Amino acid sequence: MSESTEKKMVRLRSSDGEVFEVEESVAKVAKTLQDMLEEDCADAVIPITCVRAPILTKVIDYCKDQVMISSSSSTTNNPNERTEQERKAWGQKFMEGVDSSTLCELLVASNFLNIEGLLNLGVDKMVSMIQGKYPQEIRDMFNVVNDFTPEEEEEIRNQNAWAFERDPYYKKRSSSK
Amino acid sequence: MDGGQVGVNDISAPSFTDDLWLQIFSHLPVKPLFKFMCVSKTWSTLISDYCNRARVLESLTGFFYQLVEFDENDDLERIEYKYVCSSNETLSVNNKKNRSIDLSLDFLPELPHFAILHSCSGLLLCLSVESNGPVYYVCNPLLKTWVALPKPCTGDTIDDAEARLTYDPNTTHFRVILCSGDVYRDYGRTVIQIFSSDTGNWLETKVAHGPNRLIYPYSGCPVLHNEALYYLLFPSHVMRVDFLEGNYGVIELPIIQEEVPSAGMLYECEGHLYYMRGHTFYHLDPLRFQVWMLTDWNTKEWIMKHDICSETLYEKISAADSCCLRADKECFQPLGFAADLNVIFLREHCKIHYCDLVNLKAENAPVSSYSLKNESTIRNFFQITLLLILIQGEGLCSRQVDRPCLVSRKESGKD
Repeated sequence: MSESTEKKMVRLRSSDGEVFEVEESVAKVAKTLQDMLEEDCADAVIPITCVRAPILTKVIDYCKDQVMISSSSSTTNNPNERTEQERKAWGQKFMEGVDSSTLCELLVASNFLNIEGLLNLGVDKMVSMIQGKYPQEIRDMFNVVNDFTPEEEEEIRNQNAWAFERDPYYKKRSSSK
Repeated sequence: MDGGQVGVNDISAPSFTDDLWLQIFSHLPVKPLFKFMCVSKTWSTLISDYCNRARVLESLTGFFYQLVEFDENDDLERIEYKYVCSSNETLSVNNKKNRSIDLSLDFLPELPHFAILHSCSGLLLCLSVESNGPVYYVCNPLLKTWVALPKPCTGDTIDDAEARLTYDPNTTHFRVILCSGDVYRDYGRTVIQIFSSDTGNWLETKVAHGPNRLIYPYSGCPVLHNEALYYLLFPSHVMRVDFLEGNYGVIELPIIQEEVPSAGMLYECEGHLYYMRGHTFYHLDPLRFQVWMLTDWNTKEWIMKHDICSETLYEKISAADSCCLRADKECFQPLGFAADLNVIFLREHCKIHYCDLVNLKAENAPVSSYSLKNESTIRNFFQITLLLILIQGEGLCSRQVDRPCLVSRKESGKD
């Protein structure tokens, strides 16, 4: 257990140069930062090179909330303590209105900073965003170039034909009598 | 998997690492995952790579159950098979989210007196009794392909024959084994018939298993392994017929089969032969569930792998499922055992419980329950087939499509 008599502050710099000052406990929600801080190899300002300011703001919001929950849940019967359901609702609300490009950046940030909870939220959101899409929509969304020849694509489609069929994709046996 | 990042990362946002993509893939249901294989070459490689590495196998383990509906109007039974994908929290080492996949058998033609007999690595062995006799079918519910086998050589002995399917996805050929005691004509002999999809023919072998030993109808549990066939002889032996060396012999079981001959079970897993005794499971008190592994045929040495008191099982089940009617132990009925996963399936009225035996001692033992929808429509006789589906990237799928023996319905019928 670390002694936390006074709140130590940590400064983070986003890729576009903005500096954020947060409590050490908030920064430590990110495992990557926690490791740096514990090994004492963090400079005065920690550069977060792959994360832009608006994304870092969102990430810090998430971390602050985590700190708030964990400090409140240590005391029993705290009204701030969330049930599983409330946590889900909170996560949904946190991700509400996040568009796909912001989501991508959030995913990269939470992956880089190693924030498991945020990464899971992001992955869930991404999965729900893409799972109903057609391959072409995926290409458009992620700017992927289709490097298959039409024949090759057709072949892969045929190999995985079952994945392209709609549900329920076969008529009931009884009706085909 | 070099160069896997280039194409996928042509993205406006900062680049995703392969690692991040794998995270996303691991949460995608199987269907979109395979659909996205044709997004680009890199996606295809990345997804196949993921499938190979993550062993999608476990996450698709499930079982079929037979639902019997009784039509009061015309007094007819309507039998339907439903597939249940077991919860992956229990069965998967990877703890992946539940994947939904449609494995209805609707793609099969209308088959009279249809029954699922056995399954192996994603293929199902089915039987249909038609006007001119029984016909065996092998189908792949994932790819929706099926094939009818030619008639076995000795048609009239297959009534009480136990049918088993063996299929190694790496060799692409399956075999069907019929094993029966020729009780009526050749007492003391076993009739073995093996169909190979490689040759398309049945081969019959008759083996004298000697007096005082019996092969009971539907209880031989034939297992084909390394070109040798193993099966149970009542009351206390395992027979081995070695097709390569052309010899055969018996060794004793670690325990004598009591009372109900059909309760013991022989199976093969990762190159070893196992014997499971489960029948006293619900007859005696305290009840035991035991599994032995044969280390070597020549030394005749069996090692006990599991020895679990049913009380422990019931306790774990009732701890996991508050609605469990533990008071009535009689209602627990062992349904099957998935050897490669070490998972036992039990039925309790309209519920199927399954528990991981390896982790049973852990505090939060992985026990899951599945509620059957309509209690009244399920017959007491309950057939369960464990289905393992292997998805190995494109590999398996393309191999199976190429296989001449499994005719896809699309090719044979419409289109």
